Amino acid sequence: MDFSVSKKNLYSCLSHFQSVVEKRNTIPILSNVRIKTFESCIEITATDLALEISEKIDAKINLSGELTVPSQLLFDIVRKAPDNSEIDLREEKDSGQVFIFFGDSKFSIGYLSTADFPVMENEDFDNKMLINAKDLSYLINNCKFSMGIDESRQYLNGIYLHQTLDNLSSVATDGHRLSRCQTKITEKLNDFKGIIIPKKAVFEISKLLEGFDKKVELKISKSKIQLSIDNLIITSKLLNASFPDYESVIPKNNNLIMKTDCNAFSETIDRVSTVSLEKFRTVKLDISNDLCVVSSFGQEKSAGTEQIKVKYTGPNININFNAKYILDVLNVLKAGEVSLTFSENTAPTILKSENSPNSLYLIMQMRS
Amino acid sequence: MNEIKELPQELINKISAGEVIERPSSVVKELVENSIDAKSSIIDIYIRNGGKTEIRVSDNGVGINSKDVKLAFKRHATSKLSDHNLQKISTLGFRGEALSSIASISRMKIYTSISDIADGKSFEVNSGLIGELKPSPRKIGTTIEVNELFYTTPARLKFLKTENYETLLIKQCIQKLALSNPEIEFNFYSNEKKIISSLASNNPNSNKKLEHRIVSLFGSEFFKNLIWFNEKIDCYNFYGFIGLPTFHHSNSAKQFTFVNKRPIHDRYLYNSIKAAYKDFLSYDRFPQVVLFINSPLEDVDINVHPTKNEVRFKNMQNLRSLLVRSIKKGLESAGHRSSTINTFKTLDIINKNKNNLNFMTKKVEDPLLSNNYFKEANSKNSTEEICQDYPLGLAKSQFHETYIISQTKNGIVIIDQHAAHERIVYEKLKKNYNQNNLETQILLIPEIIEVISEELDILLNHRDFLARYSLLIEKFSNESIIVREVPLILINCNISLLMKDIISDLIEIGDSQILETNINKICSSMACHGSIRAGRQMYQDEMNKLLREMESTPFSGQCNHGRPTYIELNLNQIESLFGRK
Ligand SMILES: Nc1ncnc2c1ncn2[C@@H]1O[C@H](COP(=O)(O)OP(=O)(O)OP(=O)(O)O)[C@@H](O)[C@H]1O
Ligand SMILES: [Mg+2]
Repeated sequence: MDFSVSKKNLYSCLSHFQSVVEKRNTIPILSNVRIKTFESCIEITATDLALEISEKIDAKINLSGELTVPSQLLFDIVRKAPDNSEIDLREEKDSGQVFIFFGDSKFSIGYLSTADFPVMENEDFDNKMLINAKDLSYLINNCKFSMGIDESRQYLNGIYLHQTLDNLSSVATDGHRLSRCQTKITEKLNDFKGIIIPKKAVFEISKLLEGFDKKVELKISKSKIQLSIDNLIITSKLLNASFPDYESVIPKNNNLIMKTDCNAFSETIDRVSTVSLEKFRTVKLDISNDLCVVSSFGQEKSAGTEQIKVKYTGPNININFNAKYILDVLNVLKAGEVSLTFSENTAPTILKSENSPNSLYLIMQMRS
Repeated sequence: MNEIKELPQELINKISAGEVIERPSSVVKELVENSIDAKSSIIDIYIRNGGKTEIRVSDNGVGINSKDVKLAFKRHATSKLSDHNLQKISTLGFRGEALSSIASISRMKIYTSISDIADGKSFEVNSGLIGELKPSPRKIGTTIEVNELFYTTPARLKFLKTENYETLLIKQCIQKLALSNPEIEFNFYSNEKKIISSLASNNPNSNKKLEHRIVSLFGSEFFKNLIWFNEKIDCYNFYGFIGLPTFHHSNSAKQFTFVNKRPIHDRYLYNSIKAAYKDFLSYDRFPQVVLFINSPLEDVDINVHPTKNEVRFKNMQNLRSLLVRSIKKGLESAGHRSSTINTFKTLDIINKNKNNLNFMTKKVEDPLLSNNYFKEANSKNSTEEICQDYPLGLAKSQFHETYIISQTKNGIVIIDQHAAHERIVYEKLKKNYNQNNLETQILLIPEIIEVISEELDILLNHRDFLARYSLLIEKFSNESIIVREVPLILINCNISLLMKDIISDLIEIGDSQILETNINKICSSMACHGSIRAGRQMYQDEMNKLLREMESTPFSGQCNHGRPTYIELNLNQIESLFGRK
């Protein structure tokens, strides 16, 4: 194998792999990436057995072939190459080494054959669709913070993607709060039951979509999801669990609506909850006519309180929340007016914003 | 069997007083033990309503001779102490008071026959009065029926728990007797439902026999985690199955111990077992064992308590060390990897290294080198000042994802992250429990947890108690509960594991009246689940936060079990370790 590529292309490609490759791996070959030549490009692949990324970049091929090299070492060498350099990679079969040349530098790395490199089996993806990268990234980013960690309830550890009428919906929950985002789709998926994308894939996909604004191809099978983003293909196993009937926890009869400015509200909560040193900070909202008093209590009689103007008419209510849950929602809603819809009993509170009408957030209150 | 004789008065006095029958399971225990003593090979037990309405034990043993019937129901009449020697007891019964005790508080019916051909007899006993013997043909053996237990002592009746709980106790009692008698077939029915059915094994090998029994009582999964061991030391024989160190439980419910084939419930023995596992097992977990101790009859005194659950050994100290040694040997034979981790060995290594100091000092002799090293670690500027402010210093790094190292004004501190955090959560739980203001997160999606019906019962009995800990549970079905609210500190824990441990705690504690005094135990279980596990990576902020919380938590220097949560090394000590001073 012998080819040359630009540092820029190779570097950006390898940087996509760094979080996939497990640093401390018990199976040595999993800390390698596979490099394979094609007509006028090379393909680099990394895997952790549950998640696989492969990307093609342009290259001038002098001699075709394939091999695997340690991901971290290759990345570090390429990173330090001068920015506009051309990098040559040449395999020397006799010594089992790959030589890397750029400028006046020469490096060599021992390589392993591709025979033992695990690749995901080819799969029949019965569902395919094109979707705007922006829409997909919205579905993921505005919902992912609600994912949970739970060994016994697998469905909490990912994002549930499914079809509702002509929407594609994403849902995440940790059992205490829930996020749902929806986006219109033109192509319908046939017989699509819904899938749960595991946490690691969620974070990788979110990163890869950053700054990309064309269409991406989404393919789904019974056990895998595959996404083609530009020249890159990411494939992940799905969580093998069924998602609970979340629709039934969305309250229908909440009728006490409070509206306020998203940014101001977020700042208030953040300020007030400073007094609490705990990992989980609690805030109390006392809501009366057009006024909300936010307060928080810490150890040793410390307390913080602040008033904020709101739009509200109705009976006085006081309600406690985990501050983080509210802040997380306000953080993705960003600006504009946020509405909190309470119920008179212990139903969860609904958070919505006119700026993102397709997002819905539920937070279960605390009892004090 | 020998004929029944009344014991002489002086011997009667030797036998400690006290009541034998506490609850339905005590009746079952006495009746089944009698059947075992009667050399039966099949014993069937039937109960109704947790034994409160009916208990029936049927065996194919030697039967009771018509002329002995009256004597059998007389206090301190027994066929089992032929030479009046309390020092040498080989039968389970010897006090001669079980039948008379049961008879005085219930209505009994007895069917018995001493041969298949001779006519059997049946008779009733009401409040201790023996009725007329009627002919009643049956095969050799005895059936004893106990109805309306405690009808003469309604106060006792009130103390009984729910049907499910009493059934559970009876089941456990039969399991114990079945384990020590694998050559007898046991069948147990509750309200006509088969609960236990365990055939006898005729394998001549005692470990195969026991294996067969364990598998039929607890399933093969349980058995897979056990190791056979058999040690003869001095005059003792220790044998049985001991659990792999990785196979443990949060209480001692599955520790079965037998002395001369008699089920024994003895803290001292349990502690010895724990001691044997000390190097292999976390302090709050219990190994699972089916352990038999055979000792010369004259070396044990079983006449400690009327229920015969406890024993005294002539030389307990000696027995304990022999027991610990032989269990350890058994564990090591399993070749389990964890068996190499040995605290003593580690300490040895440290001590050896101490002697090698000359060699080590050379390497770090250059003061410049070491200074630079520390400067690099100090990366952030104002460290020095901050260190002065905080007794536990500033977290520098985490190693093995288990320990935190922090730098203080004049030394370093090593912190066990799990133990430290557990202590903090524990203190918080206790404080909040006492002030009744635990913060509670209501669950958006309640968690459903499957339990067996006895467990369900126990949990529901303690609903209010758990609610005070902000654990709100409800019955969901006959075999599941639904958890609706959890304490805020525990929102990220594995709720179903936590509930399982709490169930174990509740079973072990048993009586809800003494529950209050066991708050600490429940708190520790919860704290254990709510705290950072060893093996979790922590970020600098998080580590510092933990240190600050430790500083503001009383008693945070010790974990819930008395081990230190951190170790401090001051510069003087470090320097002397390196031979600089
Ligand atoms: N199932 C049985 N088969 C044959 N004999 C029995 C049976 N149950 C009881 N007996 C006879 O009745 C006697 C009295 O039984 P009881 O249980 O009251 O006393 P024990 O077993 O001798 O001593 P302990 O009070 O310690 O149990 C026994 O000694 C035995 O001879
Ligand atoms: Mg008896």
